[in-house]
Amino acid sequence: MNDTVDVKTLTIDGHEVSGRRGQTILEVARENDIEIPTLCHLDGLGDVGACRICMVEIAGSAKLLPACVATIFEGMEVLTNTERLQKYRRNILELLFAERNHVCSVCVSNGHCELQTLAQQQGLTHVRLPYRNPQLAVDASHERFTLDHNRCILCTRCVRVCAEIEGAHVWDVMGRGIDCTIISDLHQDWGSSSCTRCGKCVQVCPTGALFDKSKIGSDHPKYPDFLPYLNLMREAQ
Amino acid sequence: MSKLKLATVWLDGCSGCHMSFLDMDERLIDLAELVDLVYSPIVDTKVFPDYVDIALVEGAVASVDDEAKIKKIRAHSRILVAMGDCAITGNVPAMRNPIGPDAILDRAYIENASAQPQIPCVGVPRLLKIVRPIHEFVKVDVFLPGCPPSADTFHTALTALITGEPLDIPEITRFGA
Amino acid sequence: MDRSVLESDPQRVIEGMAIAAYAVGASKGFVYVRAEYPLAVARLTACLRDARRRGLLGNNIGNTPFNFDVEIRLGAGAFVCGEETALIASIEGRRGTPRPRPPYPAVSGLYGKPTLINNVETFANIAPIIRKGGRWFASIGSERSKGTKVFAITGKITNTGLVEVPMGIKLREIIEVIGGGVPGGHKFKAVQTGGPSGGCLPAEMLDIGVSYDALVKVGSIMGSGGMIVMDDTSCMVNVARFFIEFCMTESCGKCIPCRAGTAQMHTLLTRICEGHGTMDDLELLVELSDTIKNTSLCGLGQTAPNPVLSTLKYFRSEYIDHIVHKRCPAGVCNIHAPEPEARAHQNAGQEVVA
Repeated sequence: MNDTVDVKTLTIDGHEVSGRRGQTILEVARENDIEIPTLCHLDGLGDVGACRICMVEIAGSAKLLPACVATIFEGMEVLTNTERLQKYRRNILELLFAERNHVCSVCVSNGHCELQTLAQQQGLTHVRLPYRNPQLAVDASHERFTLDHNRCILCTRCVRVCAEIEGAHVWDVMGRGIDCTIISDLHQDWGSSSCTRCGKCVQVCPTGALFDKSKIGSDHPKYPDFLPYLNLMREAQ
Repeated sequence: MSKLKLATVWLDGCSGCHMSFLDMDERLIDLAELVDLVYSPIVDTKVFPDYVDIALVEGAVASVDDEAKIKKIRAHSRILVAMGDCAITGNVPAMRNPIGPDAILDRAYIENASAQPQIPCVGVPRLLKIVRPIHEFVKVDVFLPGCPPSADTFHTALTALITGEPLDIPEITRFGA
Repeated sequence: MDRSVLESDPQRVIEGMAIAAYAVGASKGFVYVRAEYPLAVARLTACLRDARRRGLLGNNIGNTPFNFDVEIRLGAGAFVCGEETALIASIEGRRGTPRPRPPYPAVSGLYGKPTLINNVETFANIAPIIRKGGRWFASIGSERSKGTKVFAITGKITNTGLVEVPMGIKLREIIEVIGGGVPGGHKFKAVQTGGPSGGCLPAEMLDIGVSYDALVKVGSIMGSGGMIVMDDTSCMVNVARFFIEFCMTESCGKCIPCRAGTAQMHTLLTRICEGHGTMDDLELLVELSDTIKNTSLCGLGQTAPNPVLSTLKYFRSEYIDHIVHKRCPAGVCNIHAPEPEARAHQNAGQEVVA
């Protein structure tokens, strides 16, 4: 980092804060203990701005910005938790719960699922939209892990961690729109794919879509916190 | 003050919510000071009363029978509470939705039958093609998620509903809790 | 209309690109064209070969130090690849999905390099502007939208086809004079502008002048320049469902509001078309539209609810007819389709006495 760091001052929810040029709204907010909810974002992975949960309002602009990718500018006035944003966040969560078969009560991630926690934080007590009830597969061909498409929210954290951190790029997305599906390699069984069995994807998965076979019931907390450390250590080398 | 009339109803659920309700243990005695339990699987009344103040409904709507019941309950209740995940999301009963009722009936009554495999068709309600939460059929006033909602959740929520105190549901429970 | 330019006058596009490249200092250009347009691809290829032979592309163009060449990239038929960041991803050989902007392509575009990206029609306009001057171009059109615009008129109209008109021209003139009006003694009902995610405008709106601002103001867009005319045989609820279905199947699936939101809107609209909708569904539709419009990642999602919002605004009574009176005024919808849940299980017994 050079000496001519450009410091920007801005307000987030009325708090005066500052950050370096190029920092995202999310980074600056979290440095200042202002919580912006996120779902596809994970510290240590490249951002895609896809879940739209972290959208924030900027004074003077009708357009909402995703806090995970939008960078700060001088004099910016950010609002992170207006009624309008809360409504959009609940709407998006409703869309997710209705999209696939998220049956919390029988899910391996019950109790430590980011989707479930987020729904509670955002005050979602029921889904008004009709459930889509799609018929989806469970890929248990891998000797150590299982992929349950019923719980997948297509955040692509697994895709990113495999490509960016592990360097294997086993995961990717197939199909379009509502038919999008996570696939391994060229849509073959996970068990017969080029998977290195590192298990990073399982740890970063926010829901019960990827889980460890050796764990039973809901005894399945995940530990995605290793990522920033891993990146730090790699940079230090 | 006259006691409020409380009903509890069991649609397509596992009765776990009712068990959890009973887990309020000695607090039930205090509760009985405030409400009369006028209709429930655990009391003897066979007909839903003309008027109840609070109706707690467990379970999803899975059959024509459930559908008729929930409509009737709604018509006779002041506050309708969707009790537990089945009533709110469809939950486990709705897990048959992607494959449909035929496959489920076949598995239960044909494939796994040890004697005289046949699907019962007399004296049992017709299954709906899709199991749905109760708010898709009637207006629901309070959603109390959880599988099941804990006894504490019941106690807090019922106390608030009886006394008219404000109730912050996401504070006390969530889907799958 | 871009297709017709590529098929009939590709030289104009290539010339525009070369001028633009000279202006920004680019040495490499790409034309991204759908593989479903083989004639456009063939003529473009011939045009490029010809231009290279004549020294109009390649190194030292016109004996100047300026080098520029153009490569054709074929799209695999994804609507979303019209979005600039998705188009760039597709050219790079990745999945055609958009990414959040900024950074805009002008800062970081193709292979991370600053990129000028424009529509075929825009490039086609450049050579005449250079030749005749900006003032000439600006003298055509309206206050904020300059020049001409090509529309593809289709649907229930006497003269279908492409028309090039000055900006600011009244919709009525395009439809009634140039298009020759609605044939067969039917009554004009609506015109949808801008492609599948444009809004449907009623007869009362025909007197607006066509410009980017004016169309957005009344709930539609200029978009691709598509113009679909509908008469009294069209059911506007069904039309809205049709266009949402298109957006649903063309959504790339990256962001949640567009992926799951358009699918939910389609479900709700289908319900209404089949006579099972409720007024609550209508409210949900409006709420979903608002969320999708404001939170979607790219233009596809941000405009996808337009057909629904505009028909709700201008043809609300048709929705009410479907929901409350269980009737499709145009007689298009199969309003008495059996409700999915009511379909009897084939092994079902009788109703049970509760």
